[in-house]
Amino acid sequence: VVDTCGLLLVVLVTGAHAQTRDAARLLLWALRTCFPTVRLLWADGGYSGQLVDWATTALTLTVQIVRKLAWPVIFRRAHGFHSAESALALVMLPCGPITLQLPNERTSNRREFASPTGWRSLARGGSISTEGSMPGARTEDARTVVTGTAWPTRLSTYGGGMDKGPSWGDRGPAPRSDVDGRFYAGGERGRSRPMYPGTAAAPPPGSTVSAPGAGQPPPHNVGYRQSVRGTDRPAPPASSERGPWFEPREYREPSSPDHLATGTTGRARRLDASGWHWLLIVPIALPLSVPLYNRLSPTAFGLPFFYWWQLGLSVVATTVIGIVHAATRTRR
Amino acid sequence: VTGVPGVNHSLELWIFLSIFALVTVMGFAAARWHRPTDIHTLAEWGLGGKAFGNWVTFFLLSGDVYTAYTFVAVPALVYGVGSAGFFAVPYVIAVYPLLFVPLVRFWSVSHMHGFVTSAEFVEARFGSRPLSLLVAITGIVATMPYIALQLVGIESVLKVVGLRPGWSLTIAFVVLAAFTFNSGLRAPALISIVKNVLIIWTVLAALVIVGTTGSGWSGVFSAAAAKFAASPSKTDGLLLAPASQLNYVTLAIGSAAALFLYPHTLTGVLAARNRSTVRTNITALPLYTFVLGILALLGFVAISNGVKPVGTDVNTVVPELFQQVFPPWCAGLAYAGIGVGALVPAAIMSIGAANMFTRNIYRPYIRPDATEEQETRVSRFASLLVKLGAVLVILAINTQFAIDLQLIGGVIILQTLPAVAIGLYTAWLHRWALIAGLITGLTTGLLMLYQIPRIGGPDAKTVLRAHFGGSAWPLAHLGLSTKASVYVGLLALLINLLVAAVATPLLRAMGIPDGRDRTRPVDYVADEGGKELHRLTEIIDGAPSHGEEEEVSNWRSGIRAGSQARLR
Repeated sequence: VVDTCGLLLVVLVTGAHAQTRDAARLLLWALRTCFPTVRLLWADGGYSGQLVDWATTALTLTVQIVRKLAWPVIFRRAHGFHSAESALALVMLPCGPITLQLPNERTSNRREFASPTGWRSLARGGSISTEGSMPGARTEDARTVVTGTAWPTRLSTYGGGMDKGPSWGDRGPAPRSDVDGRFYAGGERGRSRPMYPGTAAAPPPGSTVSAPGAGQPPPHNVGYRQSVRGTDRPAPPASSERGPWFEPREYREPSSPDHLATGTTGRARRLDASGWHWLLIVPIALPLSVPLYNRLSPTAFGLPFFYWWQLGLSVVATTVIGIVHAATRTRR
Repeated sequence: VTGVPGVNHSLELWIFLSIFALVTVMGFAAARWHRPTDIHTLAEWGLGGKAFGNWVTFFLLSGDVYTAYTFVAVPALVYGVGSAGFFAVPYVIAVYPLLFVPLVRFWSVSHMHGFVTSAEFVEARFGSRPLSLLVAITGIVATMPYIALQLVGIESVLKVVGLRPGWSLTIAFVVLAAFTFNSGLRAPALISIVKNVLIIWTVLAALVIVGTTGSGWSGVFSAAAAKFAASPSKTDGLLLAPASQLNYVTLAIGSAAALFLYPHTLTGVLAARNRSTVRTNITALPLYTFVLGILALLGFVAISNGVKPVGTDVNTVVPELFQQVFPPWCAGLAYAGIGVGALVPAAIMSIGAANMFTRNIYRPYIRPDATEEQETRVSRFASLLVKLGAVLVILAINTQFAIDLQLIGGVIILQTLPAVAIGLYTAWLHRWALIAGLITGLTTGLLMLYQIPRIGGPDAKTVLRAHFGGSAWPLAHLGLSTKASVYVGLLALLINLLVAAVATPLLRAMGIPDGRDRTRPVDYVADEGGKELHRLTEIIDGAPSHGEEEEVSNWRSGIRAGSQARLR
């Protein structure tokens, strides 16, 4: 799925035996999870039928079927910063192995696409695990393939900025370009490295980790491991550790609430910050102010003050925490 | 109501044993409880599917925090020194408001990224595997003696019941190991229900008995006051001596902070279903402290009843008291409460330590390509090994050694605070500064513990042991003319923090790169990760079934509300 600028939002790679219409459900779900503001999609005739109704009812996504989807489709992209109305072009083409483009220089762009909540939760859900592949690699080269029980195909997910659409594996490595127009030859960065190494994937309870054709269940979470092995990283071109694909320490995800909370500049206020939390100091400070209660009288039920006071503080603590809990409860 | 010495313990014994048998059956049956289709994932085995609701989490956490050792050792300490032993109460009160925010943040970030241990979080937050390894090793080393202490709790009961601790302890822990191996975290979660019922029953019975016999609590305290007045020691009494107040406070703070860092606490928290479950539980748990407080007061009751411990093992004071004041059937239930109360935390601790081994040592260093199933298998065997180690400590060495190790364990686990707890708020600290701080903290902590002798004997002046005799470090070592002492763990932590804070700008100035922080601010407030997990299958299979419709519509309105919030 790409947006109206042609930038890649989500990708699902399936085996040739998978019905694309079925695959679309997973794909749209992922899209919905990652980009909750998306409202409208265009798809070609191959996706008409049940999928449209399903997307409307289950995902509140409108899918419009267009006769022939011109490429590139120019629509307004409206995700977070352009406008509130989201428009989206859905391009799903029944196809063979796809060569995927690796992330480009626009780190923030990639982050935005590659790491939203959805992929993580999706990965946590276990149906998809991300792993990098060689530039120009065929589907079979994607090492991490985790499938759900109901989804006996090999899945790999990628996100990345693209402006040329998918390139076909049969044509060999496509020239990769980023939005700024710089081009990389396929494989320029040398070794295989995780494209989006951030997704720790655990297969869900209901999944079998198996893939047709893959004898050994693939390692999960390898990308994650590799990513943090500091020294094993391929040297970034700029020879600084904060190379272009190293994500910035602080970045904002447009679709996340903190985007609004933090504004565009300045120190981020923690999302769960609340003035009510100051109240918690009371049940912390009271049990620790020993001189306050280190005495015998007055007694209660025969207990010296020292003892019944501290026992009573447990009730105070529960009350205060209860108040803070109720006051800071997030409404659903 | 006073029991006769040398009475036949058969009724107590049978009750104790039959409850133990019941618990064993429950432990194995727990594997079928909300049975997942595949238990061979670490999240299922080690975190119970991360789906425990309010009640189960309450039982699990209370079973986790209030261990058998607490039930046995805190009253024993109160029996020995009076008020100073009561530190456990302010500690388990202050711990909840202290952890209210960080625990929820930890829950969120862990569910977002699939972390099972705190060391995994550290790795993602600071981008440093050596740091993560250090945190994991510290966690495992600190947990093992804690498990051994649970054995001390059971041992004290066994001694009073009249069983020989050697083989019966072994049987108890073979059973424990077997059902943990089989059912994972579900077993202690289910068993802790039994434990809580028994413990609350015991506390109520104790209250009734103290309230209805003799002169009630005032009689208990006057007897205790007379005992402490007669003793030569200056540190005991119904109130804290001025010099020991600082230690009381620092011990409470230090223990509270350490509790957050122990793997078993975090394991219990991560098993909760959502943020709200964690928060509700933190709200409710201080009430359980009330139970602990009453149990601690039983130390005074033991004094007034003239209870003498079995042999030199002061931990047998509470079981002895039960035997004296309770009717046999009631005493049997109370023993079972302590015994089962030891199994629950021991199981959770071994799971927590095993998860740390699997996720932070086995996978990164031994088999990077391990599958979930392999991970789970490794975790299972690691939990066996951890328990075996604990049994060996108890049987081969001696009880006192386990207690000393636990003391050291508390001090060293506290040194992971900058990485784990502060890491939840900021990634400002440099990874190598954290490592330097951790190592400095560990070293100074151990050195200070080494300096502390154990004083005792009839005149309270004899040096029983020259080193590792306690955790109260006299400030006189610093040249201060005071008798006050301070908890070693907290002092070492201060040094640790100081090193980390000073080294961070230095390392940055030297141009040593930071690790990459893989977490995002929004990760720390994420909620209800489990929903997508179920929704996925639902979406692949088509429209949601009847029961799930509501959930989907909630979810949809949630999305709408979310997008509207963004538009504003």
